[in-house]
Amino acid sequence: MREGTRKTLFIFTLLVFAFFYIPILVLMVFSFNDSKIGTVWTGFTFDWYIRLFSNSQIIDAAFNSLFIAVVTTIISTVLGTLAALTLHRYGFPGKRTVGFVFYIPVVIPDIVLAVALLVLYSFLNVKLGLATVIPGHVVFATSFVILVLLARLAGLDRALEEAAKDLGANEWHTFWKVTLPLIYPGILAGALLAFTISLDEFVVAFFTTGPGSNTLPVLVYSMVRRGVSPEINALSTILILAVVFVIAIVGWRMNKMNKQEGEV
Amino acid sequence: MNRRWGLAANITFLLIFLAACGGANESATTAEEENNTNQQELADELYFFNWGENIDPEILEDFEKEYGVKVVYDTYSANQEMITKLSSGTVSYDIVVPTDYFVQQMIEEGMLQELNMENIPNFENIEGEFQDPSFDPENKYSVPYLYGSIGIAYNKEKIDKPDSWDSLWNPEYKDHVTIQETPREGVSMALQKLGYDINEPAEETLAEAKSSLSDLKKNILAYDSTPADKLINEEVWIAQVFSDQAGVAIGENENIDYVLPEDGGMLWMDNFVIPKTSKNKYTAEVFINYMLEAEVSKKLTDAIPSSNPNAAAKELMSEEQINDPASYPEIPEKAVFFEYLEPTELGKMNQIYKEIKVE
Amino acid sequence: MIRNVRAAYLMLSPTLVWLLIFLVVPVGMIAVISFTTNLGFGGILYEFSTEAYRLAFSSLYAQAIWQSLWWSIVATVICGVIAYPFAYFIAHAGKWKNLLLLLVMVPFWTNLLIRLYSWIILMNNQGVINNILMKIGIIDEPITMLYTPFAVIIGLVYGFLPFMILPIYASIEQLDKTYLEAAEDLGANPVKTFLTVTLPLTFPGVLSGTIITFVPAVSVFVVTDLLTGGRLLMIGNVIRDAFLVEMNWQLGSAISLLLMILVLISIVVLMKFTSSEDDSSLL
Repeated sequence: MREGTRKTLFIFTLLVFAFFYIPILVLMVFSFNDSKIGTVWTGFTFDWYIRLFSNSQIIDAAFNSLFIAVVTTIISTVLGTLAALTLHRYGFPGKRTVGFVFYIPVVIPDIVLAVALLVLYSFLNVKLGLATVIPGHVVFATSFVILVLLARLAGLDRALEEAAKDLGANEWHTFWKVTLPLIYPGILAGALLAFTISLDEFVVAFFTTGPGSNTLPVLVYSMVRRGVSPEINALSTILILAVVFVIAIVGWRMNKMNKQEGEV
Repeated sequence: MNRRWGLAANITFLLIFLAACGGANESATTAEEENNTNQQELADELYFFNWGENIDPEILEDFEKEYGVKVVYDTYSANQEMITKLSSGTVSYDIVVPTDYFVQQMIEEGMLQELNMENIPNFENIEGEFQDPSFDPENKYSVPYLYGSIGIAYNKEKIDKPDSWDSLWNPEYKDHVTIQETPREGVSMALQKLGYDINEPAEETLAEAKSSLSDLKKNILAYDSTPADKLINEEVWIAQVFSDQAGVAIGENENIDYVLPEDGGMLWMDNFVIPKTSKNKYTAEVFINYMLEAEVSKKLTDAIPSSNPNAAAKELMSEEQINDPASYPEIPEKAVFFEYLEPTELGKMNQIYKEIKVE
Repeated sequence: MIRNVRAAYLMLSPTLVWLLIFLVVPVGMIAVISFTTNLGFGGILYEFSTEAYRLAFSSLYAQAIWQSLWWSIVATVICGVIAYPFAYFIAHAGKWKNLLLLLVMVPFWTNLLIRLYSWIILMNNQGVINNILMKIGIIDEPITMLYTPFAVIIGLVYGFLPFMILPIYASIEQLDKTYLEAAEDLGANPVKTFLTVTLPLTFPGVLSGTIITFVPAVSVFVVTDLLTGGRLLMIGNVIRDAFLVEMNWQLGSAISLLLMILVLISIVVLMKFTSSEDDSSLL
């Protein structure tokens, strides 16, 4: 990249990050708002943080969401990767139909899948719990993983894999040593997407979660009639600061290592 | 060979998964039979499904300590959500909290158990005028929880005191008006303004209501069920609101006041009921009784801005709480509760709202 | 392309079985329900009826669908224009790229409702943006941003931008620099290199991004609820209301199925126009 282009792009990237983070800053500021009303500033308080720590409902719900998001990410990344690799690599009868099925979760309005799953569970006489949220989330997330990965695979240089095979590596070995490292950024992007979708999904979660296993988005959505409690802002503030803190530490260490390498 | 084996393994895995999801509650059917016998023992757990932000969590903790029953507490944001989930048979709760006409509907659908009032002696704490409601005569199935009204919140500095719904149509208030987002509440306001019965909508009266709402559209800033923030920052001068939203707004901005219109306004009430699928009816009744204790009910009022139908609790309240214009306003004779409507009639109201929005 | 039917199906089987049980079967049930008779309040009478479809084909819903499609298209185009250079920069950030990618996603791990509340605070008539603009003196009167299609677009772009960024990133990241250098060596100017080499090579990413941004955006309902004060309708609102306000499962199912068919057809058309012999597309 030329220097001028690079600078312009850098400024542009900063602006986009500002677009992402300004609402987050507002959200953080309002975690210190003295009023329960989420959108009018009335004064400063620490109350919501104190209340948050004694509110087991919110804390439990947050852990439930995290649990579901992690399990969903693992299952859908594995399923999605397998499916994308197959679609990319093999020709087989019925491929179009299969591809069609993989598009449905992207196209389907979330409430339809939610109600459909409720009908299914009702039909099979399944009692709802925390785990019953996972199938629906995996259905959504897997399709997104597949689509992201297919985009990556489309640009994959086949020659590298074939070279490995010519050199005597078996299929399994080729996959681990050549293919996987090549598509890894695609898998990472897909997994991030799966995690993000699951963590903040509330329609499917509401209809498929059982007693005592509210997820955080379900809890937050149920607060709408009376106004969402700023305890949620407080929780989000803590979470975001924690993640950004970890990112900053990792970044700082990487920077230091870079410099040391430079000195050597 | 290989492929068939793979498929079989997959299906087995999924079946195990499904079984694991359902396994925990296998004992459901046997417990239901026990229900018919008059058990007088407290269960270990009580499943309570309530509106979001509709209780002080401390009350639940106090109950747990006093009775040794763990309360499993979940929340919903609409009656319809709760009913959809319950009627699917995939969850069972011991207590849910439907609003007035949804009680009637749940009774008609056979979803509720009759209450044993011997276990709920504190029912006498409920004010006479809230006993024996039209949606559940003689309180066979339900016990009042909290109530409120739908009326007019307005800004005293910006406009004169409104006396009827008609004030919302005042062209001077253009872009400073909000009405309810839910079709039934909005259409009923128009019906009431025109002098019709909100519980008996006819084809012609609905058509009139529609053209009236379509006139109002020019004035409307938002269709908002929770306009407290907009009232507080004075973006909105006059609004059709639930009384508890008005209460919140008054608490933050002293220019705001709340009245019920001469046309009557509407009343609503949330109620405790016990679904047929509950396995712990006795425990649920003990809990309802606990909630009706004067001190407990007073504690609820301290946390939640809705009006309290509990006379004994009212005696414990502060002057300020009793005199709150939003919680205990003058209720006109003509104020009415929403009653059960045929699905087709509700469907028409929803249609009217949507048509106005895309106009 | 390898033709090994057995291996292909073996690898696909876990995903297919999962989708069969938790997607195809339940959606099939919903399709059946859309042809039953509505008893009101979620009651279903298993008697054939096309009433729901008669209702679904009203001009009201056509209007709502049209608006939803239009706003989603605008939002998707804006997302694409923002996401491409952004993803390009991140993909070329060397060691930092994974951290930067994570930083993109972190805001989306907080609840959408409270993020939209933030936008209300920023955009309302007495809000932060209007205040700043008036202080600087750019405007005298507050600009109405909430309650308008502008707010819907902002909400959609904010909500779905990462869906565009991730697939584009995944395909730019593997761009072979030798191609670009070759193009430059051959004397192509940067713009020409971009248009003739970079963009075509990363097109599958743009295509995936377009689909996973556009399609979910069509059926969203929280954005219109919160940012337009319920003044505007998207088809997502209509579907949600059919299920959750009217409890008319037949109507909700019928509108949803029609919407899905419409969107699937547009994806097929999009693919037909864009894909070459390349096997990256599914349809």
